[in-house]
This record gives sequence, C-alpha cells and structure tokens, in this order.
Amino acid sequence: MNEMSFFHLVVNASLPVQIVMLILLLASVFSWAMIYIKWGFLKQNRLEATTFEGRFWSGINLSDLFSQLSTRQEKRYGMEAIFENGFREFARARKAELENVDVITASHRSMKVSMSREIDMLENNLSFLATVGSVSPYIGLFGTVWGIMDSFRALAGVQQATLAMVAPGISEALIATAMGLLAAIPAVIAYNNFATEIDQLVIRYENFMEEFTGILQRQIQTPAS
Amino acid sequence: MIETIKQQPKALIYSVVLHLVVIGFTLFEFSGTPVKPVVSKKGLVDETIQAEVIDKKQLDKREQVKKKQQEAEKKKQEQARLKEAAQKRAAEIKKKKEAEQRRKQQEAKKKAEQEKKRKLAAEKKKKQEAEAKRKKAEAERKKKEEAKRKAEAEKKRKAEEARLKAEAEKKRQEEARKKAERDARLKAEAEQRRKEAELKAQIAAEERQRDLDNKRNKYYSLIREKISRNWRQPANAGNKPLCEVQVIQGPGGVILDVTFGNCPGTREYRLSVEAAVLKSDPLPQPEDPELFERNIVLKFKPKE
Repeated sequence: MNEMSFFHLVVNASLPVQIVMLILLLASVFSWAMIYIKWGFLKQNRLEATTFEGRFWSGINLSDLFSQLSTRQEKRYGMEAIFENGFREFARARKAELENVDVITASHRSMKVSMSREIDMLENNLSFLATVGSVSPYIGLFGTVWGIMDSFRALAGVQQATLAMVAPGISEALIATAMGLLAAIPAVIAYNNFATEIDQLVIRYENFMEEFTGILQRQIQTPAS
Repeated sequence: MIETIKQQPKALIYSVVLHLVVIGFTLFEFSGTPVKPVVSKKGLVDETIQAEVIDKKQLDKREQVKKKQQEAEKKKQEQARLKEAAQKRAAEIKKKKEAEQRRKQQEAKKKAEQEKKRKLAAEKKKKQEAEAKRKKAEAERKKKEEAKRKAEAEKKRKAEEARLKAEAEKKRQEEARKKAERDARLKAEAEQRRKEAELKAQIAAEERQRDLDNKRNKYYSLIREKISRNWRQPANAGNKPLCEVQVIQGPGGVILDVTFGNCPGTREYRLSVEAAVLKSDPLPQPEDPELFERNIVLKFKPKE
C-alpha cells in the first residue's frame, strides 16, 4: 500500500478528525441497522392490515372474530389491536347497560387510545434517522474544517511552502465530509420513505375505526334478531 | 433506540457487514498512485577555488633545459633498443625453422598410423553390416509370421463378436418390443384413470357449484322475502316503475348505506322503498360465508 492510500490517510489523520470519522461510522452503522428493522416492521404492519381487513369484510360474525383474536397467543398489533380494544370496550359498556350514545363513545375512545399507541410504535426511533440525516453532514464538515486548519497551521512554520505539504492534510480532512454525506443520504431517504408509509397506515387505521364505529352504532340500534 | 437494536442484533450484524464491504471496496479503489511532487534538494554550497601566482619566465627557462636533456636520453635508448631487436629476430627465425622440420616428421608418422587404423575399421564395419543384415531378415520373417497369426486371431474374434452382437441385438429388439407394449398398456391405463379422475372432479365441482347456487338462491330469496315483508307500498305508485337500490352491508348483515340507482317514481314510492330496506336491518346471513357480498343491488317492482 503506498503512502497516499485511503487507509493511510485515515490512520495519519489528527485525533479530532479521527474521532469525527469514528462517530460518523457508528452513525452510519446504526442508521442502517435501524433502516433494516423499521423496514421489516412497517412491511409486517401493512401485511397485517391487509389480511385483517380481508377477514373483517368477509362477513364473519364480529363476536366470532373477537373471540378468535383474543384466544390467539401472539401479540396483537395494528388494526387487530384497535378492533380488539374497541369491541371489548363495546361489550363491557353494553353489559353495564349504559345508554347507547355512551356505549359508542366509550368504544370509540378506547379505539382512539389504542390507535395512538400503534402510531407511537410505528414512529418509534424514526427521529434517530432524522437526526443522523440532518446532523452528520455538519459533523463531517467540522472534521474537514479542523483538518484543514491543522494543515495550514503546520504550513505556517515552514519557509518554502509547497502544495505537496498541504495536499495530504486537506485530502484526509475531506474524507470526513465524504463520510458524513455517506451516512446522511441513506438516512434521509429512508426517513422520508418511512414517514409517508406511516401516514398511509394511519389513514387506513382511521378509516377502519370510523367504519367499525358505524357498524357498532347500527348493531346497538337494532338488537340482533 | 438501543433496546430496539438489542432485540434484533441481526440488523446490526447486517449493517456492519455492509459497511465492511464498502470499506473494502474503497481500500481497493483508492490505492492508485497519485503523482507526488518531489522537492529538489540541490546543494547550495559554492566550491572554493584556490589560486597561486608564479613567475612565468623563470618557469619557461627551466622547462626548456629539462626538455633538451630528456631528448638526448631518449635517442640513446632508442639505438640500444633497435640493436637488441635485430639480434632477437635472427634467433627467432632459426628456432622457427627447426620447429617446422620437427613438425613435418611427426605429421608423416601420424598419417601412416591413421591409414592403418582406417583399414581395420572398414573391415570391422563390413562384418558388422553383414551380421545386421542377417538379423534383420530373421526379424522380418518372424514379424510376418506373427502378423499372420494375429490376423487369423483377429478374424476369429471378429466373427465371434459379430455373432454375439447379432444375438444381443435380437434380444434387445425383443425386449424393446415388449417394453413398448407394456408402456403403451400402462399409458392407456393411466389415461383412463386420469380421465376418470377428471370426470369425478368435474362432477364434484359441478355439485359444489350447484350447492353454492342453491345456497345463493336461498340467500337471495331470504333477503327478498324479508324486505318484501317489510314493504308497505303506497297507493299512488305511479305507473309501476322498476326501482333499483344499491345496499352496502357490513359484517353480520348490518346495513351501512342505501343509495338509489335508476328509480323513476314518486317521492312516497322512493321513501317506502328506503324504509323497507332500513327496516330489514340486519339482513339475513348466508349459510356459506363465501357467498357474502358487500354490495347488493335490489330491484323493486310494485304489485298489481
């Protein structure tokens, strides 16, 4: 390996620049890990919503659906959780012989709570990606500025200054900026993508909630024959 | 954040591997040789020159005297050298002559010896050649015999082989024929079976379809019955219009929405239709959940 290689540039960089590089590398590693996790989670949620909607509109009896869900071992999330909470509250309020309006309100409220919990879970950790996306270019820039400062200061003590004396220092300093951009670009893309997907999911949940409330209202007004 | 990653360490591993691969690539890419300017380090120290002043005339004189002496000496030496050289040359010529004589004598002697040797060698060679010829003839004879024997054996072997081959071929053909027959029989049987199975499946599908159709008809008639039971027709129904209504139902037959399609009739007539639908909530359920439909189009026709 010759003395201008990437490896040498990194190893010979001054300590602050090296620290900056390390931070950026860690940020990149963690943001990619987060992208992988989030991507899988959102995909799972979308799939779950689609299958549950299919089941819900298949004409199955609602109490059957509820008992099927509540006897299942796995954790319920997304639309399933909203439905389960709403229906449980509905049954409980009805048993307590509240007035019709109150029953619907109670059920609706419980569904709303459950939905906000779901949204919270979806948006969890998304801020990390946003932070990496917006801050790492600045961190990289800081490293670069520091490296250039260093190489110019070294230049000050020399009588015959040549370009060859500053060039390696600047080159190694610029690596920090490159790394910052490298960490930021995927994070920003992923953040925007995920935010859109989450919005779409939330809209689906809301629509489902309203439709379900409508059905409950009908059911309460005309007692099952 | 850390907890999330802790729950799925696989993600972190994937990420680290990805970065290692990228870094590896950069290491390969970046190791080209950039031009490095060389700073020259030429010495800047001057060479010191030392100088001395001498009287030039005196120097010239001295030099002339010296030159003359040297020339005289040289002449003397030259003469002595010439003399010596002449003596040496005479001695050398004498020596050379003697050597020439001696050399000639030796050569003659050598020639005679060689002649003798050559004669002997020629005789020997003749003998050897004769022997070789004899041997060669012998070998050729033997070879011919061997070839003959071999050819006969080959012939025999070939004949045997051909016989065996023919037999095998016969056998093979017989077998192939048998196999083809068997295959054809098996194929026919399989075909038969397949056809039967197909037929059966078709029958089953038809049956199922019929069953479903029955159930669907039953379902539709149930809906029709319930709604018509709930329909109070107004007196002035107009000139017996056909009224289309689209109903959207939720799980359990809950009516979610009623919209009018093509329905030319009086207001009372339309109201009565809507009331009939809403009164029939919840709609009857099908026996098979597969038959459930979210959208239903109902057609109303007033009685005579």
